[in-house]
Amino acid sequence: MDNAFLSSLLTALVLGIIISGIYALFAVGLSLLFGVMDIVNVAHGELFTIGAYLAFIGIVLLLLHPLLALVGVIVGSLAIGFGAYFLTIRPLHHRLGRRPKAPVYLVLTLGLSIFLQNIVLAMAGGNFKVIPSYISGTTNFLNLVFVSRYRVFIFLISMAVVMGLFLFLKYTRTGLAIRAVKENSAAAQAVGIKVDQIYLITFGLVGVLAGLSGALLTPIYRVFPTVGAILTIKAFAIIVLGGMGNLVGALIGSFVIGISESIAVMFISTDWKDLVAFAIMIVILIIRPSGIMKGE
Amino acid sequence: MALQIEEVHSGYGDIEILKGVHLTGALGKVTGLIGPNGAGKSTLLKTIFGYLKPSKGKILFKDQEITNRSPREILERGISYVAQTEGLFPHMTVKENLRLGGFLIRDKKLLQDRIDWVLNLSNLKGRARQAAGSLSGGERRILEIGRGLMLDPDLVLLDEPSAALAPLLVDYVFNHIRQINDQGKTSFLIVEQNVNLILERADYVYAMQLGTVAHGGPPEDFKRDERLRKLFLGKG
Repeated sequence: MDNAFLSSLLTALVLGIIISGIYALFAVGLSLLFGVMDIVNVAHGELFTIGAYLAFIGIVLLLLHPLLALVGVIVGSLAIGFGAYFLTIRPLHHRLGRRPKAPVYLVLTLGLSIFLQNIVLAMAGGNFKVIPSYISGTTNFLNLVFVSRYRVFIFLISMAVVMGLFLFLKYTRTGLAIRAVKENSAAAQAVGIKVDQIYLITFGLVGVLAGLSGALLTPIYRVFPTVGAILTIKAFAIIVLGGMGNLVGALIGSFVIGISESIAVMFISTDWKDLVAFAIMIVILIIRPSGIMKGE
Repeated sequence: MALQIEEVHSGYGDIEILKGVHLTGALGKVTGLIGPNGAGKSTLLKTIFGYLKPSKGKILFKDQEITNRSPREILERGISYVAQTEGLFPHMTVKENLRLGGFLIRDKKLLQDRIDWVLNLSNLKGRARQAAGSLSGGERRILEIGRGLMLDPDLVLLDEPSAALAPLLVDYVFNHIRQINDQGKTSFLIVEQNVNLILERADYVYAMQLGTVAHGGPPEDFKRDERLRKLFLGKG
């Protein structure tokens, strides 16, 4: 194996690992929402898009320090997540007196997705927005791989947030309650957990995860009103691969898809890159329909 | 036991299952609730616990009205509920299930003390870190009952503890219920399909029929009275 090929392969691997971090941050939220509420959230990408636009407003328009802008994205995304729950899901639950079946959520979130896309389009226009990378320079691994420091930064932040989420779910009282509702909402109610409150918290968390991934990715990709929709479809492939509703599965699925895509473009045109995720998803659905980590 | 149910009507949507349940008499340490399928036994437990809202009538516990309260508020008033099936969190450990049973306890030391007490009582101490779903059927039932005891309730509503259990395991579960009774203040209101079993194990029995309470009395009543034997035991 010559040095140039090894360098290309390692570069693809490192870039794949880095993009997997963002995929994980985005897909874990989608999987969490499905696990806790059975919601296949088609509007997840719009939460990503709004996070990206909030970062653009903070960094480019208001000239805030990027970290301060990220705090603003977290607060704004939390509010969007709460708002989405209060304005759509909660009234539906109250009207029906129970949780509806999954297809109702699917149609509801599809409507929400189109609504949010059009709101963003009306407010921000259809032009691409660009946020300059706020961390410059490259990092060198073993003199073979050169990666921008910004990409390393977003990987580290994404992984820290995902690990923080896992620790929160494992060790805190609220995390325990979220896991309880995820496993058995009737039993959770029987032990005194306010299930409605857990749904609200989950929506807020999911909003933050999606919004933050949008904000982190904007300096690499341009922002436009449907940018999140493309990622949503890929996130569905990831969570089907990992096992629907299984968070560790979503994490593993993110790395499988991210690294596979990155290595695949060494051999195929980048135009075909997105097909890799769906090819893997179809194969997994045929040979192991419950996903790598057995989802629901 | 200070549970009073006055002319309660309840059901699922437009379907009324309980048609004026009146239960104001004595409750023993272990009270059985028997009756044919569809008589409304499980519906009554769900209505007492606040899962179902009565359309008419009143429920009082320790002289306080609990009608239309949420399950959480009813738990706080000293009543816990153990469902007929699938009441556990199977992917969580035994200890996590018990932690959830004590979800309303804010004091960490008290919570740990309660967990230790229930683990000892239920002989599950060695399995605290094991996933609840990996326990045997009898142990799962014991764990569910143990979880229902975490808040040291005055009354446990227990829906068919013998459901889907082998006879040996049924004995194991009922022996535990008696042991809990002997050790604490907790009483049980138990819905049971196995009439002979509950007549052996309960101090007092209520029989339901067509959404109302048809009779209440000590188990001996049901064994002696030919009409009751015919109605609820299927024997002449």
